[in-house]
Amino acid sequence: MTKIGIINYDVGNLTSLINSFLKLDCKVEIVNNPHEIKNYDKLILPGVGNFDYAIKQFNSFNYKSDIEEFIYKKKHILGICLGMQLMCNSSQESNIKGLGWINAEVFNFKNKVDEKLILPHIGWNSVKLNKNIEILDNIPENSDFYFTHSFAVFTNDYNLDISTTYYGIDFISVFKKENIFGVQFHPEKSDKFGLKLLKNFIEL
Amino acid sequence: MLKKRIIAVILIKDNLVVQSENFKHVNVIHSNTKIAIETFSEWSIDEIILINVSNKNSEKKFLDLLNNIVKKVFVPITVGGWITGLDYASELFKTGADKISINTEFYRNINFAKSLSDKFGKQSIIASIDYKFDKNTNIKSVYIDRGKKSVNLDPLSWALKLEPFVGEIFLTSIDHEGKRNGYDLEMIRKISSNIKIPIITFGGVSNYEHLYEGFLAGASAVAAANFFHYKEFSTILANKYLRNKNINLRKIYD
Repeated sequence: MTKIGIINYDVGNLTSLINSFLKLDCKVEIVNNPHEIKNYDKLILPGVGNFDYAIKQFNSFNYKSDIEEFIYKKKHILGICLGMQLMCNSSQESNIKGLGWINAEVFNFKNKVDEKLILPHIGWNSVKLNKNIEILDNIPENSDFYFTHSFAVFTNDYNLDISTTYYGIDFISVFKKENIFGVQFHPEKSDKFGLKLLKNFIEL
Repeated sequence: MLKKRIIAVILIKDNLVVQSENFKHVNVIHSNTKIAIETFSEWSIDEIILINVSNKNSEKKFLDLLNNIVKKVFVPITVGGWITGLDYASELFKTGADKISINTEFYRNINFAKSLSDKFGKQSIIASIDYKFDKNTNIKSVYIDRGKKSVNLDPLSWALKLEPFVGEIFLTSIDHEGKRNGYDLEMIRKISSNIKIPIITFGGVSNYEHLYEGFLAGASAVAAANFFHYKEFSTILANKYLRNKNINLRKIYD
């Protein structure tokens, strides 16, 4: 049975994510220490709130090199919401660099869209699918997922597989680079297709 | 495109789901709260709002209940009732709440709204505004203490004061609540045309057309309690009815 590890770095609550994996009859545990990472088949990098605070927290746990070892072994990792953003090169929300696993940058929506747009972007919004991204398999085109964020991921890298969502501008709502995945929305709060996406991830 | 939302409100008194009329909670609708909430999640509701309407000193009991009932809910959950401090708010988030909704304590101390936003993010804080016609002053006034006390304040002025600190306004007409005649459309129009953050409207729904009227008046989300409990697949049918009328809701599948 696939064993999922959810990386804890004291940013946001993990209850809903754990409940989702339990619903999918999956073995799931919280990872509190980098040395435990090798014990898992797949990892989730969660996170909500502020990039600056989160990356400092993440760095203080010393997770980076052990997760990079995990990725090097072609095991799968999924970043969710702020977890997805941490995987990028940098964010306008911090002077501290991101993890640099994905060639993309995190921008404040404010600097990208009309100022009349209500921020944060909260609620159900649709995702334009990309068939190269396996975690979206068997999910209908333009299905809605639950978002809550003020910053979003953009890239100039045409080699990155992406799906986009429109909120004043097309931003990256899902990305994939080999065995690294990221989603801006909360699959654990996105009803049946959110669970389907997590199931696809488990079954990779 | 960002969607409009349908929200189910569940009022909880002493661990039971109760019916409400003008903020009086008498009839028990559901004795199994867990099944009630899981049913709405299963029926693809967009969000659920759980309000603790028990008497005071019920915070711990509500937290235990929440812990027990959210395990199979995979849509966003807002909780409200007796939230007066950061610690309790923090406990609610840890237990699985995505947003918290507050009325009375914001009136007593508007800095509490700011502290909560700073700590948990504005998107997770909802200001609940309850109001009714106050016979003493002849205006529609904000009420606190679960509809018991008028504070002689116009709901729009109050909404404008709260707007910098919260992500949404949960607007309830106490006069309409439980009366089955639809929302107070005039107030929805007045507030939604003057503030930028989303309005959730609540109180008075007894048919799908009432939900439609709420959206036309300017609400971003329409909420109902009693009405959704009494009809099989109510929220799925509401979604279909409203999408047929070109309301921009998410497409759900049976």
